[in-house]
Amino acid sequence: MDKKTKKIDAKLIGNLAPYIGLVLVIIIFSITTKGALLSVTNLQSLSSQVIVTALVTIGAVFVFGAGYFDMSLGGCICFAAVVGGQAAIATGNIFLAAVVILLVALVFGLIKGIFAATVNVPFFIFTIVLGSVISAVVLVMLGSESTIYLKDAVKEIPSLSFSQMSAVNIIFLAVFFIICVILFNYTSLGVRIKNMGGNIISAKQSGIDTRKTTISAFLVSAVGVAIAAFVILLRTRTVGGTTASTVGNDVMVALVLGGMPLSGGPKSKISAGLLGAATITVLNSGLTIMGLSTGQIQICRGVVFIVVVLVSSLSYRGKLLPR
Amino acid sequence: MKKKIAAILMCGVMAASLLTGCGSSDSGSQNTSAGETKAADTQAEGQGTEGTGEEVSAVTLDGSWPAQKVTIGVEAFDTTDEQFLALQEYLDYLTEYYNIEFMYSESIANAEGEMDFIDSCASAGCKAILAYYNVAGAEAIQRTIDQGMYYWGTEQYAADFEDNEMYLGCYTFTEEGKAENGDYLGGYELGYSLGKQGVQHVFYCNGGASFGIQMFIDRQAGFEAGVAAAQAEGAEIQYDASKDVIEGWPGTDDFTAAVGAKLAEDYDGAAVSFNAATLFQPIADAGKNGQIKIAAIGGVNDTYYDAVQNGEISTIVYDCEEVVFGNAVAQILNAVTGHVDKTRTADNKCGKILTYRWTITDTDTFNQIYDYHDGGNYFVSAQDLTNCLAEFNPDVTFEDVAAYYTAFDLDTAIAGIQ
Repeated sequence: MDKKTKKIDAKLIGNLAPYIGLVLVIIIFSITTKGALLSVTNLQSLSSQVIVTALVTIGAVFVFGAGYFDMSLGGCICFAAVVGGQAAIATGNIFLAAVVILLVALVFGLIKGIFAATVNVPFFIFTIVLGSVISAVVLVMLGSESTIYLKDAVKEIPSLSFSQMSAVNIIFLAVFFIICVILFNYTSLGVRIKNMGGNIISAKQSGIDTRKTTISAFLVSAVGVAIAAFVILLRTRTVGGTTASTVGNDVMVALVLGGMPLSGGPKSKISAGLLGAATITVLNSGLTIMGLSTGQIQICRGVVFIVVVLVSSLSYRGKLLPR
Repeated sequence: MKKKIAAILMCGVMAASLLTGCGSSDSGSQNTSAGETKAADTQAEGQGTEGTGEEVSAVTLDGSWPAQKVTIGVEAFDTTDEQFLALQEYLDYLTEYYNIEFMYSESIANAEGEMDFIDSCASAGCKAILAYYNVAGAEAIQRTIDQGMYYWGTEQYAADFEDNEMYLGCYTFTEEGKAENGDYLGGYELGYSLGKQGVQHVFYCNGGASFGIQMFIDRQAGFEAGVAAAQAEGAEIQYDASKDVIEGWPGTDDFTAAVGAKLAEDYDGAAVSFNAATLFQPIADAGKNGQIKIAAIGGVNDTYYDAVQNGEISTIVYDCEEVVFGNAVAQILNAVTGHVDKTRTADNKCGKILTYRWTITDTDTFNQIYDYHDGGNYFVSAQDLTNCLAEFNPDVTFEDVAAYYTAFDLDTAIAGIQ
């Protein structure tokens, strides 16, 4: 086998790694859980479990793809969900809550976008601080109540059944995914984002308006955040200071499991968001259903993560554009 | 390329070696009430069976009952918490004698995590959820019921679900006709005990009370009432709510600074509404070992063992895991074996079982409980549990079960050991 063929093989393996990983995880856990993983009930559960991570991760591809590392996603979801929850409780109108959540998320997206585009400091530090500030503000907003419940609304807000919630999840996810695929793969926005992530200097020199592109990327990401916050509110009918507290980590793990370099650039792909979110959700669900202890679950998760990263790295290590 | 493939193979080997022997939770090492004796030949230990109506004769528990394995999901807020670990040990001990298994959550961080765990439990075939923790409130209970599982726990929402047979009730620390809840009573014991022990000046670590967390608000109110009660009985303890409170949690600079400042003053007592171990090092650093009496809501475990022996901790308000939370197993097993009526009150409401917090104020009592548990014994053994199960004791009623667990106050428990 000559060197060129070996290179092609490695690239192929690297590209297929996320798909292989997801299929393997499904097969392994289908066997170890004796089919419980793929039962109708669990598939509905999985749709609920995957939705938040998937929505946020798909949106985050735009931000990470442009080379920005956003650690404040969980905080933004929490803030939007709390404000939306308070609006719902005060008015009894869940649609108004949806609008409020979208507006709040877009405001945060705009702030982050403007900051990333104009202030020359490491962006991830800003988002770490922003996440902490948001958490503190949420605690102040909640005051003496650590959690708020939709059942306390002035007018009763009907709850969705398990099946209805599954349908809502699938519709939201499918629509957002398709829109993002089109934006990222078939519009100039996607091209500009990938170029920026590859090398921002060359992107600027080739005439890309990096400020506009950056702000646009954060606004798209904010839409994902908003839908995720709304879905959380619909599903749990309760929000508090810890809402979405694990989303930030899940998004990064999902991106990597989906085969996307966290540094962004031309290798970025929307499918990474969906694949990664699906993989981590199936992994978590399968491990829980198996009845493993917390320690064993963490070991398995860690090992799978390392393996996928290594396999994925076969395709993109050494392929990055110079920085 | 070769290096990368080697690295991947190494990961696989590492995973395989780490997971060797992994399995469901019933495969780990377990304590048994008879020490080395396994389930097959367990005999009645004959203690603490008063109050369950007709006492059943010794039965053989070989792990084959119920005929179909019962899986129970257990929700935890922190899987490293001492009390949760003690409960886990007790539940795993029961799996040696009954055909049951427990599926433990990871540390549940938020409502979404709780809902995910409940859904996973349903997929895994769990029959019930034992809610050691609840963050999603009534929504978690409703979700559990919608998924076709029984739910035990969370007193706060018992009234909302009391007519629903899928809700199996909970424990309560509040006696009928009284308003004080368990957190208030726990705090009360801290203040009252320190006052009666001759402490002159006490400071109180209020945890999340200043952040609006209700359980800590109740504990602080109880503590202040306890101090007032001790003062009314002649104790000279001093406490000023405007000066003698440390707000917040350990691990922050503010908390450390506040503790340091208090230890530089004339305090000879400290009450802690959470894990008291956080004060051990600051007290040692301040050179005040043995000069400050600590009262805490805590456990009878290794964390406190040395501090109790040294006299640093003078009061522990303890929730005995097999009594306070263990009654869930009786309720759940009755329900899933077709005797849900045995979990209901006479007026067909969900059952709330009154249990008592044990206020331990002397080393001997602490040591007796510690040694008893350390020897693999439980105040409610697997055999004792049969007295509460309709399959073994057909005449048992919910009132009998409740009376059985309620009977375990500290004095009764210690008398049982002796």
